Amino acid sequence: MMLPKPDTSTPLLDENANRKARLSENPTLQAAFARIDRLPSPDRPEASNYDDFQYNDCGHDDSKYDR
Amino acid sequence: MSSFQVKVVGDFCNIRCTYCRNRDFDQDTCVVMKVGTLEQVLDFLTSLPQKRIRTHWHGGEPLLAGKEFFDHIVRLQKAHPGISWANAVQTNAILIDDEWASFFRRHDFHVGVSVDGSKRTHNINRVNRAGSGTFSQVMDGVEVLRRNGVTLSVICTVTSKTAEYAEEMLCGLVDAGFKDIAFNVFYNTASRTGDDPHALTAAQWLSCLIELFESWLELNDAAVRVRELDGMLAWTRSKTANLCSYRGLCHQWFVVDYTGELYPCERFGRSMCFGRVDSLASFQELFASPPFLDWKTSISTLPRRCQSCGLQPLCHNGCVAHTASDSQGVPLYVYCESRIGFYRYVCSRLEGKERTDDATETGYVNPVAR
Repeated sequence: MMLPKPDTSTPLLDENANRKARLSENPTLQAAFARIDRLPSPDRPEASNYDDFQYNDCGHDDSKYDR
Repeated sequence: MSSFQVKVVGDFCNIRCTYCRNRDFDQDTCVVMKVGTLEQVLDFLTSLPQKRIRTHWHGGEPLLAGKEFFDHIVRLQKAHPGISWANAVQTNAILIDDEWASFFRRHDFHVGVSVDGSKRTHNINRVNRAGSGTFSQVMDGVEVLRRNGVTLSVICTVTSKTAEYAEEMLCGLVDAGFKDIAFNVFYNTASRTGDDPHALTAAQWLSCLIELFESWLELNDAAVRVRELDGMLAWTRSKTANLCSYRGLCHQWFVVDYTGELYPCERFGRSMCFGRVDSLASFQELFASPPFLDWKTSISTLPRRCQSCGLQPLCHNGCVAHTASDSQGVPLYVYCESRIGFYRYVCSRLEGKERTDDATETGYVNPVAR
């Protein structure tokens, strides 16, 4: 008697999970989140220090000051 | 902390970008800020309570002011030893030579260069008086800056003519060695209308952002930082991007023209003047003045759409100069839908969903159709 072949197709949810896992290991994203995690949350007191690092949209990117 | 953009030569420039907001301006003769005015500007800035003052030397093309003028800047700043000055200059880099580069390195100026992507996309809009592309001249200047060890970043302006080449623009800048990259969406702030042929629609800007995001992921270079992408990734962590157009603090940004007149951010043009640096005793007087308070109130009113939006604390209605009146007559950020659509897109990708080039799948709603 022939057994039915196993379904080797990956369910959509697993595909999403795999993509999510791969993306979370992307060094570019990790570096971006490391920068972002150094930003204070808007509702935290140190947010007032934001302005030390603010840069203007059309003027200049002061990235050297927020590193 | 307030930030200052000093237009040392007003709107005068040595090239003629097709999208320049000053393109109808008579630029035959360049007028440079007088040294006496510069002295008044720096004295005025020191009336702020803060001990660290960041100044963006701007134009037009600020290097047209000449090396001697920049020597005066440093000399006059040294006359205020209690202040820590952070200097930045935004240039098209065409006038850069070893002497300029050495000056910026020696005095720790941060230099931002305006490059609109690859040679092809740059030369579409950034042309000289004769209408020829300026990419090669710009990159010659960039090379001199790098050779002298100057810290560089780049601003790339996106127009309706270049928006579809987002991947090419990003890869072109990375290939040219840039790591700190910002993309400015072009919107005609002079007439406050979207009729400008260079202005992007919300849908175009959203598609451009999505393509930039996907291209950036594919590049997979952790050293490449794109300001607009960082801004949206910050939202996914409930953080406010470190950028004026997300912060709702436009009242802290000032322009000082070469005449010594004080204005809000230059995107507003010159319709609202707060006075002159030699007629205002201090910033305290400026902050208490009716023109400033009226303007601050006018930009602080939130449109109805923002009042019910959960992203409002992270967005603050975007750039207040890039607005059009909503149905209640309150200015609404014209790229509101681009932002929300891009946020949804980034969230869906971080959740593992497949990339899509169809902006409508992000939940984008054309504001004109509502």
